[in-house]
Amino acid sequence: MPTIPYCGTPPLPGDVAWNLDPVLISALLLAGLAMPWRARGAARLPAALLGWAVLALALVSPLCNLSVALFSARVAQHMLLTLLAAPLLAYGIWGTGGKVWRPGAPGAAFALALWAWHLPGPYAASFAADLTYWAMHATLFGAALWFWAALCRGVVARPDAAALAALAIAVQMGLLGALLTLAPRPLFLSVHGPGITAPWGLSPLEDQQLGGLLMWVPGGLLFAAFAVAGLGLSLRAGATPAARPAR
Amino acid sequence: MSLPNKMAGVPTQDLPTPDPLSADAPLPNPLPRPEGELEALQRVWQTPRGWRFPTVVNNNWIGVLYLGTALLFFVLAGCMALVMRAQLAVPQNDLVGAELYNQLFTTHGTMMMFLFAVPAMEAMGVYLLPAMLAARDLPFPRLSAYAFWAYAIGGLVFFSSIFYGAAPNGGWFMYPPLTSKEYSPGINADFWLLGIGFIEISAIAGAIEIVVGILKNRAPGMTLDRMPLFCWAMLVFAAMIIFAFPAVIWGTILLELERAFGWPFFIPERGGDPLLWQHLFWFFGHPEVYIIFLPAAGMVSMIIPAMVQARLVGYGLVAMALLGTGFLSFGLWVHHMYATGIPQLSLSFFSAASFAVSVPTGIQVFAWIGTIATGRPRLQVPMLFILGFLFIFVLGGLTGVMVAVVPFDWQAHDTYFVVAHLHYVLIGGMVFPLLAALYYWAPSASGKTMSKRLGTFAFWLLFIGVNLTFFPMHISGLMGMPRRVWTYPEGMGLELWNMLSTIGAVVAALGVAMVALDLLRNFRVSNGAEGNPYNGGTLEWLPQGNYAARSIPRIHSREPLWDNPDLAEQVRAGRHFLPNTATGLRETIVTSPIEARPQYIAIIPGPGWAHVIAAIGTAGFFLSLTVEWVWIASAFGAVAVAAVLWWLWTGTDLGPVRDSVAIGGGIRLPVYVTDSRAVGWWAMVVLLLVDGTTFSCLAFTHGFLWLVNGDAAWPPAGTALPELVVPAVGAALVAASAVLLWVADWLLRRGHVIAMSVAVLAALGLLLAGLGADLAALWETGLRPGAHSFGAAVFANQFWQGLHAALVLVMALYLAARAWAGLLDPTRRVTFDNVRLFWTYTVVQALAGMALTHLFPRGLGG
Repeated sequence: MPTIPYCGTPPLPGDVAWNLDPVLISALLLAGLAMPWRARGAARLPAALLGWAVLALALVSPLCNLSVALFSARVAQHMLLTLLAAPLLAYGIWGTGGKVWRPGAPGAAFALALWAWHLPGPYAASFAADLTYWAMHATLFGAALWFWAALCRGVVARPDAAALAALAIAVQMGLLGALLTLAPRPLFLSVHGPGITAPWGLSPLEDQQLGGLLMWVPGGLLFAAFAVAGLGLSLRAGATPAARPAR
Repeated sequence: MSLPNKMAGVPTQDLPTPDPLSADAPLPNPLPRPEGELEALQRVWQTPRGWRFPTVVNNNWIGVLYLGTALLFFVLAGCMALVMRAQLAVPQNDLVGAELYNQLFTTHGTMMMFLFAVPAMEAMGVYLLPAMLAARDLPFPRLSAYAFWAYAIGGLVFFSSIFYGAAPNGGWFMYPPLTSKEYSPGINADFWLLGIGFIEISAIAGAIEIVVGILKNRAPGMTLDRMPLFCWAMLVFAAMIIFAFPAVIWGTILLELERAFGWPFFIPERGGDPLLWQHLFWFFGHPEVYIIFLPAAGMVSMIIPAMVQARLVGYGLVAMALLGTGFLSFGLWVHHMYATGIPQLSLSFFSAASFAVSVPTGIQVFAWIGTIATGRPRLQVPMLFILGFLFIFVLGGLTGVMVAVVPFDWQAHDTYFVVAHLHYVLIGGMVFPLLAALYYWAPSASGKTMSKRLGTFAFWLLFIGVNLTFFPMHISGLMGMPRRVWTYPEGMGLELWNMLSTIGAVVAALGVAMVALDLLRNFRVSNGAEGNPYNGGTLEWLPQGNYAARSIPRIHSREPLWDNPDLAEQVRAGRHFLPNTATGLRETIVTSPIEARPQYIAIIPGPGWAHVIAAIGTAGFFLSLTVEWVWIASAFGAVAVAAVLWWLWTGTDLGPVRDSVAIGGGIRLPVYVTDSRAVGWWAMVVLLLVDGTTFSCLAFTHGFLWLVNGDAAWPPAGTALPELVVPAVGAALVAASAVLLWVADWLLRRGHVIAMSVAVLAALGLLLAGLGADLAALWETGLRPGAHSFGAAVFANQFWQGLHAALVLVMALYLAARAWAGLLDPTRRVTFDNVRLFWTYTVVQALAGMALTHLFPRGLGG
């Protein structure tokens, strides 16, 4: 490979490094300090801080370095960012009240980003230039944040639309995970060659299957958990007698 | 939608205080009621008699007919099971041969799943939902009636194929290559593909009706958290149909294209893969299990509280469990494919995830047990069936956990152990609750309870018969007896267990006969059934006429009849909302989807022939295609389209026949709205979800076949895609048609109706030209669908886009005709709005489809 990827060279077991990029760390710290300003309330601030912690950990921890060697680690990083950090932050920052956002456009944006960045071409490109790496995280995480914010905003006012959107997005993510799991050959050999994955006890194909499965199964379970939690939230909100006039 | 509707603000203006929906407000309508009010209501909702009876659309009649037909198919498919058990009673029996046996088990499974289980649940929904929600009817009664007639006609013809030796014989899941043209050259497989394929379409029509009905037709004040759990279950059920059925419909289309025209989707020599079918099938097939079980669970959650006279423990948890089950079931289809050589690594993931499904089901079981424990159980017939359900279903669940363990599954796969498991789950989880529901709700339709003596007798026969039939199958399965085999040799120790199973089947059949006898003796549909023999707390126990409840009650709790003992009398006296027919037509209150605030009065169509003829045409079209009578099929198809257009023209988009009407409590509602409050808008959106899911399956087909073939063979050597110029022009034309639609909207808003129709026709020209340019460019490169799965996938995409273009063509001409007939104006524009929704979707889908054809293979190189 011509350039060293942002997260460093592919590590060997016992040799994974933390990401100590000062720019990233200061940006994350700034964002963390801003949390109490945006996220208020007994449930929202802890959610935002937890989301921030997951975000920081996914980007700074050795997971960054490991994802240079293993596709499955990169998928795990994406799942942490889009299915844990994003919903927690979205709930913390935007809450469940206020103006309702329609989930259609953010859902489509998230699906598009997810599929595009897991095609062999764009995926490999994120290893070539730092800018592409950050473009990947920015679009994927940004779309996820937008999507979850729309779901949070909609869950009390329009739980029907929120649940449908969540199901549709869960299903398409499951389909991508399924395709990655069931692919009969490795798709990302240009960056995850046999020499790179072998020290971790995985062939490139197994690594790819593990990545697909992480997206498919734990990802699907997380979506189910969020859907159920969202219904719980909206039922609790609906339990107070509806005294508002019709719109 | 964007038009500020003139009547939109009516209910919010001069809103009386206190809120007319609150419990503190006086009852909405005063006594005495005006002379002749009830008679007018009865006249409008009258059931047609005599030779006009087939035009009936009232949900109480269609629901009962629907359920009766489903039970008929249950009995017919059960008779097939009896023949099979007779064949297997002794070793080396020659009662039926291998070929007939194959047809028997295929048809038995197919009928039980597609013609009994799903339709029976939809029937219960059509029958019960309006009563439970206190709506006068579901929003599209002719759609339910159409779905029923198409299903009844198609199902009967499908069943009769067994008498001509033309019944499908490849197993209910129709795996290729066994079902490909090479190994199944006859029309048997086509009967499955076309016959069942279109019954799935009728199931989707029912699901759309149910979703919109539950979200938009609840009694005022029945917020989501006050909704009966059966409605929650039906909501999840219908949503699952909407997302699951498109996969099997798409698979069916692919397999039929392969069989009829040789497009090699599943033929490995030409780049196909039989596993593609299994993925598409089980993506539907796994949720299908819960599609059948969830409504049954919802019924149980309704019946137990009435039987023990106590509120259900954990209402919110049960609702969350229903939703959670729905979500989980979409990720788990691969656990039906443990033995297909899928990656080793994935087995442990799916094994673990399969255990997760038992959590929500466990929550429900504990909620039921807890409710029984807090109440005073009465051993009436419905309760007996509930207890039988708990016993049999839990046993089936336990063997389910066993087969979720991969090594065990490899041992038990394709043996009678699996037959035992699936029958325990389906009979326990669906048939017993359905029978409980039959005994519990029969009085609401007939006015009297069924026989306790016969019912108890039937229960014990069924309970003993089912266990005696299927418990020995666990043992014969573990001894190694394979499924789907027409006979077995002597001396392998299988004789005893098979004989026991056969005896059990006869005992169970006697139980079914008892139920049938009871129905014949004690069940007559009566208009105006009254009484609440089990003291249920929900609205279906209000006094009912053909018009459902006389007045629509306002709701403040989950069990209104328990919390307000006077409610039935108030409703009957007409003291609640809309005690009359305000427009002189059939109508129902449409409420907001979450809080159930009244929004408008929807006028709903009454009896008619159009939907019946449309159903006959649809069924005739698909069935004539099966036997390759292309011309007769075309004639049937033309009849169907004409009948649908007639139905739409005369029965829908009536416009604002009144300015607004008072429903009581000082609330005035419009009778016509055009924005996202309209039920028609909702139905179109739900339909587009079905469409979008089908397109996702199309994209999945592309992706899967690409993975199987590799970059080098996608497209295969010697195949070139056209230069991007022509498809780009095509895409631009297609996109321009959407822009022209906005122009048409602008013209319509200003009242230039004829100019609008010209814009619509021009937009149609652009759309067809764009899609045609793309097709022509592909054809000119020499790409053909038959040579390789690449071409097949590309042309399947073209087929799907072409189908949409044809639909848009019909819609555009219909729209223009409405405009010329003066039936369209800036206010009366629902037809335009719905066409535009569908059209916009078609454009987006066409652009995505072009990207899939032209950009996807180019973007793979990386």
